[in-house]
Amino acid sequence: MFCKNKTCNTIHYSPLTIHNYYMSDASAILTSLHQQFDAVTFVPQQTVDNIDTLWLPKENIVAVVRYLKNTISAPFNLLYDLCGIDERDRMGKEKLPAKDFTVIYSLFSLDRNKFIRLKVALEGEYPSIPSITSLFKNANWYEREVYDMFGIKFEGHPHLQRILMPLTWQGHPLRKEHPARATEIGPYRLINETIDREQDALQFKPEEWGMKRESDDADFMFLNIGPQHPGTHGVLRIVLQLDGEDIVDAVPEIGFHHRGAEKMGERQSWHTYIPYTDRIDYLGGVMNNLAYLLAVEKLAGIEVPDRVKVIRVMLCELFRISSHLVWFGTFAQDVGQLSPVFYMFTDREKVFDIIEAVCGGRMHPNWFRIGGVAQDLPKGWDGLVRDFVKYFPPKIKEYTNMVIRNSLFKGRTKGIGVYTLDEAIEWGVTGPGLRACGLDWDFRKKQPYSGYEMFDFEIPTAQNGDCFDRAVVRVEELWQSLRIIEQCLNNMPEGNYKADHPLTTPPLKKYTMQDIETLITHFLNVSWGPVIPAGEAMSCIEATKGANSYYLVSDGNTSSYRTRIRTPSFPHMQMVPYVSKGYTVADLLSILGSVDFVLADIDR
Amino acid sequence: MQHIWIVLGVLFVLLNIAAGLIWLERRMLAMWQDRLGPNRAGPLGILIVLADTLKLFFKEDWIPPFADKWVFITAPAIVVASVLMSFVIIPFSPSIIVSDLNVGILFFLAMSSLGVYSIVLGGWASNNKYSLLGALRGASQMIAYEVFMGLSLMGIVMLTGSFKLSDIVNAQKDVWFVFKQPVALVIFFIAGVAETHRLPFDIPEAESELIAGFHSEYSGMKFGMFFIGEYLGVTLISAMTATMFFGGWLGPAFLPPWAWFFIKTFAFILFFILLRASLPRPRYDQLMETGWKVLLPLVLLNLMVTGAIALWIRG
Amino acid sequence: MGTAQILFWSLTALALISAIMVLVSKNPVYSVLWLIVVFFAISGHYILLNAQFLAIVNLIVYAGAIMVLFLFVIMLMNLNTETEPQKSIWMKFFGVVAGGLLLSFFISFVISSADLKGKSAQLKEGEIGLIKTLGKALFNDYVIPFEIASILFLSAMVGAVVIGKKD
Repeated sequence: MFCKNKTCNTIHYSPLTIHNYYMSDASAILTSLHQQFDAVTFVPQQTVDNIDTLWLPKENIVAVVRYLKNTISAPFNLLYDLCGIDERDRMGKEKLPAKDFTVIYSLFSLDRNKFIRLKVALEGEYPSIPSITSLFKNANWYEREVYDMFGIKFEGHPHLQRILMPLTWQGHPLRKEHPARATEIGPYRLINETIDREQDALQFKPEEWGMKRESDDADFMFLNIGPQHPGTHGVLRIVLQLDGEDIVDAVPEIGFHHRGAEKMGERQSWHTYIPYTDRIDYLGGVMNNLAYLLAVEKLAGIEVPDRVKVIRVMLCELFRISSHLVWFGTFAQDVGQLSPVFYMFTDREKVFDIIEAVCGGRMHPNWFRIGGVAQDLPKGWDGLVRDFVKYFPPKIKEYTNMVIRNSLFKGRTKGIGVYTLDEAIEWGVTGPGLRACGLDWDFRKKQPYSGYEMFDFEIPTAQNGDCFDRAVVRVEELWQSLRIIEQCLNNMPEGNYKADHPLTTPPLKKYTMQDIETLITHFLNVSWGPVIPAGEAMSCIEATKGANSYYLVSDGNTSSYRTRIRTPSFPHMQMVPYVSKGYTVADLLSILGSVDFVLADIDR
Repeated sequence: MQHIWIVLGVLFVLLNIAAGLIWLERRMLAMWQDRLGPNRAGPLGILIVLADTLKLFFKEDWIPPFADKWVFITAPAIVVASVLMSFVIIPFSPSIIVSDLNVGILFFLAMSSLGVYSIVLGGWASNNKYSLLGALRGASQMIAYEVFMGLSLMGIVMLTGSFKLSDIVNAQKDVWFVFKQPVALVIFFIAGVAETHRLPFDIPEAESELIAGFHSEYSGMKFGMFFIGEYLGVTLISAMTATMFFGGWLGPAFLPPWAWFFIKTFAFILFFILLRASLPRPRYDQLMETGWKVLLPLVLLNLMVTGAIALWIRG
Repeated sequence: MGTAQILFWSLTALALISAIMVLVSKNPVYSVLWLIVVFFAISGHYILLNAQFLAIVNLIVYAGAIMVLFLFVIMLMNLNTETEPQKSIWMKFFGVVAGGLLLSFFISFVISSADLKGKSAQLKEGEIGLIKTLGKALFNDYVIPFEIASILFLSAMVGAVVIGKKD
């Protein structure tokens, strides 16, 4: 920067520019951004998870995102997450360009296998920021969620309406002044006025969504599916605009299952939040714990021993099998085949036998801990797992013959709900939905975590991107998960089941009985909770449904400052109207079944 | 005088079979799904029939205020009445037959066409978008498959030379028609499953797609009537298959003729239940396409080939 | 009065009352249902005349298929008395007068016709209505009109498919 004084010939470097200079050789992206946008001040931030993080002013966000998505080589073409943070109570924010609110854009580049995080600082009580829905189609729901939770308005958004909270809710929950407990709000009274207001809010008005009531030839029929419907797998409302039997447009309404998990993260300590994570994807069980704890362990700097890694992998793969069995049975049942679901649930009982023996719980074991797992594996665990590994392969073969090879099933799923790879990336699809389009992207291979690099397994893919291919990919994943479990069984390393780190919670108890220092630390850890050092970290795992991430912001307290849960089913549900255009109502149920979402995952 | 006992006896047996099918279907489905089914009420759970019937009778008889009252009430009655009328022509044994009409088979087809009304009227009277959609689809499906059902039976009529069912049974004394008309058997059975809108052709009442389709607004005994009608339909198609293709009451002498008839009918009823347990449901347009593009040419071909062979044998 | 006579008169009464109800019902769906009752009554008449085949085919085709299609159209069009334009009272009056004149013309023609006088219909006798005789007559004496009628049906079907096809 040149000195503003015209007579002065020296070049002054502002502290921020010096920072830029030293940071700019850290990545080529920054340099190309600086070249493209030389008038814009990019402030990099060093985060614990080593993801490139840049602060930039809100006027430039659309241009920068457009550049990153379209122009740059190996572009960042997947909008991974869009969230907000209320920075008003944050300790230590003077070191950052943060003001009152921050909106964070996480973009992912499949070619580079890299994330980039763009942060925009906003000022004011109810600030506004330009919307990027014109660039990324899946930004729509994310921006609605930020508006719903924080009150930040997005200029240019096609229909900015609350998404998770009821339409008549007053206030924005994730703001720091909004109460977290019902006892802090005041008693709820249901009077006739309230009933009328709520019922009116539930009425669907097509004009708000840009839908016409009639076309040239015919009237459109608006059909309401749900919230109570056996085919939607949970409490979900979809309003369909039908031309006869064909779907012209659809509007899903979510938020029935919203329990405020992200707000609870700010109240609970780092350790006591673990049971909440189990219930985000209720079929994933311990896999949710893993996603959360990887982020916490990054923040705390804990390296877990190999035994912990292998135990975690084994249990996660068991839960992957269990979740895929539920998907399989209910998908067959939606298409009309009533019997397979019973057989698959019996197999699931065998998986639960193992999990119950190891963890003590079935669907929500909350067994992983910061720095390790709750207890060591019980004696005889290998017998149970070996029995299952022997029992399951003929079952998968039987189910493949019964369901996948059934020509009526193929007739209901082949060619239905097709989307191309580009459309999948545009809409933020991850997991089996992406792999069925031909791209072998799996975070377990591309960005290995928790020891997956030690295992030998393949990533199944398919070519057509229709319902049938997604089904085939998931069945293949059952085989691969079984392979991983067998490798865990044969190669379980010896060692400790917890890391030997001061922030491991609850810490190893062996010295607490003898040493007062360890006893004090142990006591504080389990009562107050551990104090995780300040910083930001994001973990990214390949959950049963797709890519699941926990983005944790710590300001050195016993609880998280912001817990952002990026779930895979949220963008998948957003894509459903786009996929189902032109198909019939019967096909919609096939599509919903093949997307394999869990309502708790969407709503948190 | 003898005749009135036959009529009452047939009626009694049929209604018991329809009620007993409640229990049989649930137990068989459970067996094929690796679970138990109703086994608590009475020996082997047979009193579940009584429990279900009493439950349905005691339910509140609610007619939706927006529904058309008289049509709403008559719709379930039509299906039961038409199916019961169809049993008039079926020969249970050489002497037990309610009315051996000259136009037996045509009477059966006429009564099954009347069954369409119950669906259409039931769906419309409920004044509900879901029910109407289900009803109209069900009606088109039934009308289409009636055609195939009728045509598939014409081959047998050609071979026998009569529409009377007792003549048809007698014509099978040497060899059953299943060996002479295998294609017709397959088509008749498929069409029969579609007529009674059972899985895999239960699109009008597809549970996971439209909740209960055309009978979603019905509760209590009217709902029970729809179910009785469906089970009677299953029994009817099984009985017709046994009569037309498998020799009806013909069989070795160690069992009385009506016992053979019931054994054969029950075998087909079990097959109906097995179909429900095992197959997924095709989409509506796939169903209609298969019907018109595959079944119709097949049945016409069958008719032509049968006619040609019959002429050749005679001449 | 024998059973045949009782049956005849009751079926006649049923047919006439149902026909009047077809005209009088406000709800078009009710009109269709009463029309189906008329067809049942007519089928009964056919059976009394020993035309069994005709009776059953009347049921299968008319009451079983064509009326269902009528119902489809009426249900999809959602007609109600409120949307029906009300005709003026003079139109109704003149309609009744014209219909009555037509009816009296037909009756006088039947009464004055010589060869129909004094004969009553044969009930439960004769072989005319049986399927065998009907089939023989159709395929021997009336084979050409039969084939032409089938071609007519085929062209109607093809026409319907062509018009109804979506491009």
